[in-house]
Amino acid sequence: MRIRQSWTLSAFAMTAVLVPGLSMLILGQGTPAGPAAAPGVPPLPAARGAAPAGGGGRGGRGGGAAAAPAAPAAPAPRFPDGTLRLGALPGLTGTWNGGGGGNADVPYLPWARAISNYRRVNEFEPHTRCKPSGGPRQFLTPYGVEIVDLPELKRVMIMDIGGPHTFRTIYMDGRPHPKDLQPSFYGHSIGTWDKDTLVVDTIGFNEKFWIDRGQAPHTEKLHLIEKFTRTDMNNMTYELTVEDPGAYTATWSRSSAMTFRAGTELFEYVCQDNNFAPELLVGSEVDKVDRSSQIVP
Amino acid sequence: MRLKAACLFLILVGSMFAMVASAQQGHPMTGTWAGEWGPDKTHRNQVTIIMNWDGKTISGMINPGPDKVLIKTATLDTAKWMFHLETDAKDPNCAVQHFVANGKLDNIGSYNRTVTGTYTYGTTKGDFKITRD
Repeated sequence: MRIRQSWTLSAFAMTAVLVPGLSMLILGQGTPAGPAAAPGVPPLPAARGAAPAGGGGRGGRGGGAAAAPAAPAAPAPRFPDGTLRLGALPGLTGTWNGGGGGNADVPYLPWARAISNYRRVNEFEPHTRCKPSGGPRQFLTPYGVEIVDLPELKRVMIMDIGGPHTFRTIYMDGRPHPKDLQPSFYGHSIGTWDKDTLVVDTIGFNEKFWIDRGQAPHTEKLHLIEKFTRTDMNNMTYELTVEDPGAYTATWSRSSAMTFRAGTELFEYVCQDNNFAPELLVGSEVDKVDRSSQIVP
Repeated sequence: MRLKAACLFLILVGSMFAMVASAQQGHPMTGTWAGEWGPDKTHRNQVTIIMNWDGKTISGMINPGPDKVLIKTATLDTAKWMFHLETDAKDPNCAVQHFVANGKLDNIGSYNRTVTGTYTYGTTKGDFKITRD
């Protein structure tokens, strides 16, 4: 039953990933996104303030119960030293959704523009094949991410829910980027606080993923600067600056909103590499598969 | 015997380059490509080409190893996905001959994309197909 449920979620995730992608294809470009417009994110329940409804049900899917009336958001939570918390308060849960945005003004190099156009017609995104996806793409999953503050370790962790169920570490201890980085999906992230904004500098990406849902290609020269500013309990602005002389003629930026879903949390999400036929798996909603036998594809 | 040893060495060196370069996906031509070429169906030779994109030009080498040939010019016309490569290489008589290859890039969205086309090497003409590892 758990497996069936998991694959139902997987099927929903695939649909949630692919349908908005198709919409973007049809519409040409994505649109600057607030939380409601973020691609791949299902309708959010109304803001519920700091307290999780129902004590944070297991699975944290945020569905089922009707949305409660919106309440004024509480101030952004802080640690005793005044530093902003990006995650949930102790004993509570919550995930962040959003972080999307259009790529209408990206200064592509010719090859990169051609690849972007090609990808719009020929969707073959590594993320939908269970590959980790760094940078802003990490936030663009149907279930969002959980941000975990670890001030005692001087780290911030960003935990994926959808996709390959991986995580990213932001080092807050003042270390520099290593000089001999092995390129990776998430790269190497170091963060500093600029007043109430967490500024994250990341390099060392490999080229095996798409950085967003806008089909923008990148190279190993990719350098990202992300700014996270939690404006209140339920809202955060996400500012992104992209530098990659291998793919773009100039740096480019965009800004979007992320919304906190109190009461939700990480749950087990199974994504199998090389799974080219999820529609044939148990739990899918496809009626074409003969399930009369106990042994089904 | 020496020839076999040399071939084995080249294969090992080529495999090492292939493992190192297999992590690169950004520019369509970046990476290690393997395939074959020849003047006709009965005379074929294996070929390995390593290419890299630095943001301005495509550089690389053909058949990495002691007898590698550095690429002099390589371009990709993204309007038609046509690949063009030029270099100079010694023939069996140690005479330097100009090599020109033109091919069509296909299956672009795949890690294992291909380039299929024709080449001229001095007065010899042939065809080739390479697949990205």
